[in-house]
Amino acid sequence: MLLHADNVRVRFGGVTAVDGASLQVAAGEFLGLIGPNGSGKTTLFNSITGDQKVSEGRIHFNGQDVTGWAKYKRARAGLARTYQNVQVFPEMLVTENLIFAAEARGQSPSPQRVRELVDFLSLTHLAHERAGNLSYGQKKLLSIGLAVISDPQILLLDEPMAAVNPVMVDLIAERLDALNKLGVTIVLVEHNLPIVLKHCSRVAVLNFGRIIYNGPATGVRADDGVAEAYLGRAYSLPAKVPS
Amino acid sequence: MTDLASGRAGTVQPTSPTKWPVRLAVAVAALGFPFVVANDYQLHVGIFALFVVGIGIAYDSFVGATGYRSFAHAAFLAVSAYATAILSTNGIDVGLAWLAGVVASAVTALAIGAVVLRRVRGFVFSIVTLGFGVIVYVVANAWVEVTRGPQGIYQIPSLSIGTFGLNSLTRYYYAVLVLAMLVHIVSLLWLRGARGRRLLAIRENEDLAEACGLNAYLAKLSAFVFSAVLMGVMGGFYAQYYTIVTPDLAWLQWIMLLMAIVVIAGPGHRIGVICASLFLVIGPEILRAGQSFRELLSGLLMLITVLVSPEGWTPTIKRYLARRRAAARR
Repeated sequence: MLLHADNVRVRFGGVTAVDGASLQVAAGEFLGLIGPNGSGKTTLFNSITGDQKVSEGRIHFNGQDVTGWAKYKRARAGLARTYQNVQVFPEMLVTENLIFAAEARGQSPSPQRVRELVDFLSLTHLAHERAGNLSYGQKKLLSIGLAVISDPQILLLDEPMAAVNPVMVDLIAERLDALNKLGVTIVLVEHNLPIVLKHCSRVAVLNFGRIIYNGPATGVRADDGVAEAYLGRAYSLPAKVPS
Repeated sequence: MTDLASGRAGTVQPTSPTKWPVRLAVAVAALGFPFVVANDYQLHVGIFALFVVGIGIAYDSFVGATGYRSFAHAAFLAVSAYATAILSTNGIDVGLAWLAGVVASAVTALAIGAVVLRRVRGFVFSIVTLGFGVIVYVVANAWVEVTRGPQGIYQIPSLSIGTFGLNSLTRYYYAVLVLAMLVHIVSLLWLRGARGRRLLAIRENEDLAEACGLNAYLAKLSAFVFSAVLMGVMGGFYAQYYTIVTPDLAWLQWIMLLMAIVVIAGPGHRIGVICASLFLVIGPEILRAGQSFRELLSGLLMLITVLVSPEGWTPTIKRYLARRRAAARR
């Protein structure tokens, strides 16, 4: 397994945000992590990337126990992420954002590499624009660029398509698919279920900090527990009653 | 000129040819100043103004680059000045004493930064560094055997190399001009390229910078120590020029002066830092007011800046000039 979050528990005072969740991700996989608001998805992400200390449990990455590692060290080991609230370096140019992200991991990207990535993200015409001047969707794309420029082994994406127009959603989804085909392992937290079901081979569903479903994307709509906790009966109905 | 706040810290831009006449004029004015002053007092004001430019740049090399508001830098100035004073008044060569002062300032910053920068950020960092400044002030007052307490250390000798010594105001003027230029150039070189981008990333979004793989702690600590080294260089000069060092050097008036420079200019705006430093020294002199007026002026200007142009006046003025240029082109 490339990533193994083992029996992770995160408590904030009296609230248990993640309650013994275990998640395994194989190399090359495109995993969807879904669940209701407040179910612990982002907290689990934060535990994996080192943004949040775990109260119990271990995080294994690439055969190493990284539970006690600092965030930057995990990133250098190949764990890259984006945040739910889009985050870029607003005063830097788009290209400078990407150059910094590579340098931060000890790499020195060639101008061609930066150009290729800018093209890949469909930001060519904005390459020398300040990141703060980009639209929300463009910032989302750039934040993915920050994560992928140093060729990470795994990419953890926290709602990359939230509050983005449908054209941009398709663009982001297409780019993620392309990255996955290039061998990047992806874990996607997303509420846009059609996108998750279309692109992810496996889905894990989190509810009250526990994994209540972990299996093929095709089976998630037929699961009673998921319907109850997240999808609602109306959404799950077509899958259960073939037309 | 490298301009951290405009995002150009990591990529040094080619110098505009239109700036060279301005630079030449500034160079001529700076070099010719001792020949046009009416008396020694005006020359002293020039020396003090350039000294403040030096410490302003040194301070901004950390505060402007990282966005961390430090209140410890006046203490670094004092540590260096005291080390220079103590050693040189005890028979150690002034040059060596000055060097020791720089090292003392750097080691102090390393010791403080290693603990504080690992643990705290933002407002708490400011408070902790303020606490350190107070400790240095109290120690300088209370450790009478070494620092001679409130009366301070006086009759500090000045540097001489062979037959050339700092024995006239004109020489002090050119010495501090060279030092301010050195601090400026070394700081610019240090903030170039990848290092500048790292610090700018910390200032913009430290959490994201770490998520990208940056060891932010080391980057901040190196900036903190570097800034203290520059402060140490200026501290050694202070001891030789004034020939007296008292605990007041670590006290609030110096911290407030440094803070005022950066707040009024806007953190990371080098040209603004230089102008604000000169203004805060020369302005009160033109109005024939004293030290108290400078402190009043600093406080008042900081208040107005925070209310009217919270990011400092340099970016506001730059935007205004850009709008005017754009309007003129239409």
